[in-house]
Amino acid sequence: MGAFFGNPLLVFAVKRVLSAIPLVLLIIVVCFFLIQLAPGDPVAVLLGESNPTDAQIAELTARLGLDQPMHVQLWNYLTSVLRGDLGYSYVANGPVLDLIMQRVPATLILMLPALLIFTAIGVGVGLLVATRPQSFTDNAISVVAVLGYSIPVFVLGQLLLIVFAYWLGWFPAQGMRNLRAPNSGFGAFLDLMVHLALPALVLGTRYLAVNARFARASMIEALGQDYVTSARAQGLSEWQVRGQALRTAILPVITMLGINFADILTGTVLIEIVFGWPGLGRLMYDAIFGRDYPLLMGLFVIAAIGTVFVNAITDIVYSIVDPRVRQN
Amino acid sequence: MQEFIYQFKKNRVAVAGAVVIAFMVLLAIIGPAIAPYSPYAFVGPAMQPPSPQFWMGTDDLGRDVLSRFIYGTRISMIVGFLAAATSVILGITLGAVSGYFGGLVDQVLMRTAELFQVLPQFFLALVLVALFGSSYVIIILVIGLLSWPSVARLARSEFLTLRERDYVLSVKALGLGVGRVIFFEILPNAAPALIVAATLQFSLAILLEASLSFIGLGDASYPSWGQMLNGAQQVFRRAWWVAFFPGLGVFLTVAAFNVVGDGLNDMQNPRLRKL
Repeated sequence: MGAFFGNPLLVFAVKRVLSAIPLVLLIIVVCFFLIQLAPGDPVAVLLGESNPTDAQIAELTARLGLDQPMHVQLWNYLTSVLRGDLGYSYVANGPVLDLIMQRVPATLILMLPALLIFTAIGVGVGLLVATRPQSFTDNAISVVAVLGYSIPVFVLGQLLLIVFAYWLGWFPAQGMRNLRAPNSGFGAFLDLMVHLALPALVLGTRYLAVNARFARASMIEALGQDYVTSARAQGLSEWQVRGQALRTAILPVITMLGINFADILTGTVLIEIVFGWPGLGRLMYDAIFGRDYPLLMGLFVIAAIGTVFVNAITDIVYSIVDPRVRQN
Repeated sequence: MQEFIYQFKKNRVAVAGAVVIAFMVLLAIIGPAIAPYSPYAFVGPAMQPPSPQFWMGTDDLGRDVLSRFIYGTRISMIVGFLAAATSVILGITLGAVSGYFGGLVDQVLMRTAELFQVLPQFFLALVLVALFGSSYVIIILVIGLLSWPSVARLARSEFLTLRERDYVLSVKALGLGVGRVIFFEILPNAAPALIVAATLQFSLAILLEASLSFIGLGDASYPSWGQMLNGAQQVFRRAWWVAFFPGLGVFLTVAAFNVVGDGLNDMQNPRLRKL
């Protein structure tokens, strides 16, 4: 135990995760009041346009405990969400958490590789152009980055689909796998990659643009610091100097990843709708179409809690790169 | 002002953005007068490619895409303006109060702002619009109410520094009321930074409305670019123009506001400009 409490990184990590808990509780409370405030009584809202049986209506009414005082209802809701019970979807006929969990892998397959690859490229581009600010390349890349950052993912997605799937026929237009492709092994992997190419590119364009912009600004700032001037004065090569500046420049980029997580998730969800990718976005689209409110609320809770925890994890990673933040 | 225009003109990208915005605003204002057809009427065969008769083609119901595009410009501009106005007014008021008074008020307001910032904005907007109905009034309110924190934090930091300035201290000593000090003495000096923030709010609002409409939560009473893209989703395999033009509209408008915002921002930080 002594070793545990002695490790400042672990202590910081535990503290940071604990500090996220009130936020999670608050998110659940917000959800509870949203259902209460929505027009119509909660049972009607949650049932939506499904055709529930009388037994289901009775079960839901009993479960919400509408005859109980408000604080009891809130407490019941809070404890059941914390136990992992996000309610039941009467439209899709299944527990909300199960419906969501089934779709999480597909969303992660789309999101994570694109996030890693294109963030790395974006940061690289940003760092390179930062060494020659206001050059032609720098200005050109800045303009392209603003455009890449401004184009809505669903617009870019539809454009790429029209050109590369419908006109040129290079890539499949919809879905995650071809039913005729092999089920396992390299063939299946190749099939997945072919389906992944366009949606991942669309998602990546945004990270590339955001990170190039941000890494550029951050590197320009770092290169202006006194220690860089002194490193130059000591006769270090330009590459060694940039290496020194990189350590400072990379810190804000890590923070940006955490702050942008909600944005990244939103992008992924919208892209899934364009490409018929069977992940959370598609599930959300169906939930809106079928007025499946328990599922929509569940998706919001998962997205919000996910964002809070990704922020916590980013802070912990940050504290590994820059131990000074732990002292605060 | 002349100095301002001179500096702004040097940034050619920002000027191009301003021209696009001016064009879109003009289109939004005179739109109904120049739209060749009604945006709702079935005026031709379905899915006709662009032609001299239908410049942007027709959609799957035989409606004129150009006319719908022009009416969509109105919606984007109106929703963008009203939502940005809501968030900017709310943000400036709360940020000003927070920065000017400090203490407990500041603590409460800033914790609230942080909570709003950590919530995934799009998902919350989606749930709110799904639960409370997808009329434009609700869409505008939801976007405005979810976007104020970034403006508030900026306004707060401006007010924190400006409230200690000599000119503020002297008008306070003269006995000016709190409201007058905040709105007539400090606010004008915080304006440049806040105008940049307002420009970005405008582009965020347009994007958020388009995203909500694209996903199927638009107000069906009046066509918007996002709704056109939502409808196009079913048919653009055979009719690219149904998706292309509204997509271009959203893209150009959002990009225009972003480059103008960037341009104004660079002007306020001359140090960055010279780098």
